[in-house]
Amino acid sequence: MNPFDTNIILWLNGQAGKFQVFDDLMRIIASDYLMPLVFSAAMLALWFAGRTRRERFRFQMAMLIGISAIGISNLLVMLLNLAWDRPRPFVHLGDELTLLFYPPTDPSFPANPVAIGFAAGAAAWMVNRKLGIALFMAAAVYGFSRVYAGVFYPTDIIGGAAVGVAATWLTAFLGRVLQPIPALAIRLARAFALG
Amino acid sequence: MMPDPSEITALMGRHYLLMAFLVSLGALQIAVSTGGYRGMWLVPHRLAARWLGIALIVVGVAVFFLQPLWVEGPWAAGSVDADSATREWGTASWGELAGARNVNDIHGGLAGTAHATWFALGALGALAVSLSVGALTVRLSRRRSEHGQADEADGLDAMREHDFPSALRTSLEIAQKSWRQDVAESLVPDAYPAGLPAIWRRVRRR
Repeated sequence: MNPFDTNIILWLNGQAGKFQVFDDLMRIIASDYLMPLVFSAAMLALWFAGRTRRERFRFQMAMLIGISAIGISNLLVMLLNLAWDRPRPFVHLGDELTLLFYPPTDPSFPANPVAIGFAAGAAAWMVNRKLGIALFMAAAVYGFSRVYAGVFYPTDIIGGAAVGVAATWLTAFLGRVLQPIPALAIRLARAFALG
Repeated sequence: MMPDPSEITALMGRHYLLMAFLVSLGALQIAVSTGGYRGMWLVPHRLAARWLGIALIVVGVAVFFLQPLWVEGPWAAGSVDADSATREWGTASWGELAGARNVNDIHGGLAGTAHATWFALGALGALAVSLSVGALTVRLSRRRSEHGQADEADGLDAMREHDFPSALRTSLEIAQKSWRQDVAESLVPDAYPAGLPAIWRRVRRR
């Protein structure tokens, strides 16, 4: 356990219990339900948000890349978990932490929820900087809330972000190589008035 | 009495499906109002559709996180007790609602696959509602240009002025006429310089 991780998590989690409203906000943000839904809904919206046919095609390609990247980042996290079974902070630090979240049983590194958020954010960034930044910020806040809640180290969050961005880069490369398959899928959706 | 975790999973699934449906419907409304696809608007004005979308997202999140949990479950998981296996089951008070749904999947929380399934169902439901109500809105709206089929535009472009059934009819007709050409054009190596047909051409040249 490195001092960087320990110092930051102890300081951040040390604030837990001081401001009830902030703790409740962090509990909601840290939950398994809110942020993943935000990322998924953003990908859904991306499909329909283009103003012109050309812009729509770019957005729809980004959406296909985003949802594929989320799947690939899950796979990468699983492989990294097999390579390094890093224990969660509450296992090492025990009573020094105030746990605001249920104690997960899977390895700590890298943070899977953050990887998903950064994968979606990177896909959106390729076609719309504002949406990309918004999703990156949402993913960063999600990661912050998990560190505050005592279930991830800061380096788990950094690792998760790197995995998410790498997964999107890899998927975008595959998307280019596998053309014209995604383009034909979008053409098929257009035949049903949905693309 | 301690309930079966599967009952908790079912309850969480129902609540999550409702949130996914409302949030998806809201996101769709914001997107289609940005894109200008009247055939999917729930209300006949762009700005109203956008604000309705924002309101639906807020309501969806509020319904999920503020809904009272008066059934017994492993609620209030945000307790300081790190060992979830020993956590007592009970109802959640108002003060505990923020963290009450932070439940591990082994105790009834939703696993990743359940998340994906419920979100897909919620999004499909939202799309169906958006298309059906949008069709009614277009038919009732004065902006509707005609009763019949859409013009030459296909896909979502056809829904700028027309409802889904007429846009679908036009899109299918256009696709029927042009699909051979579309497929042939997309398989031309120059269409996508980094794509499979171009790679195949380079391999054959070697």
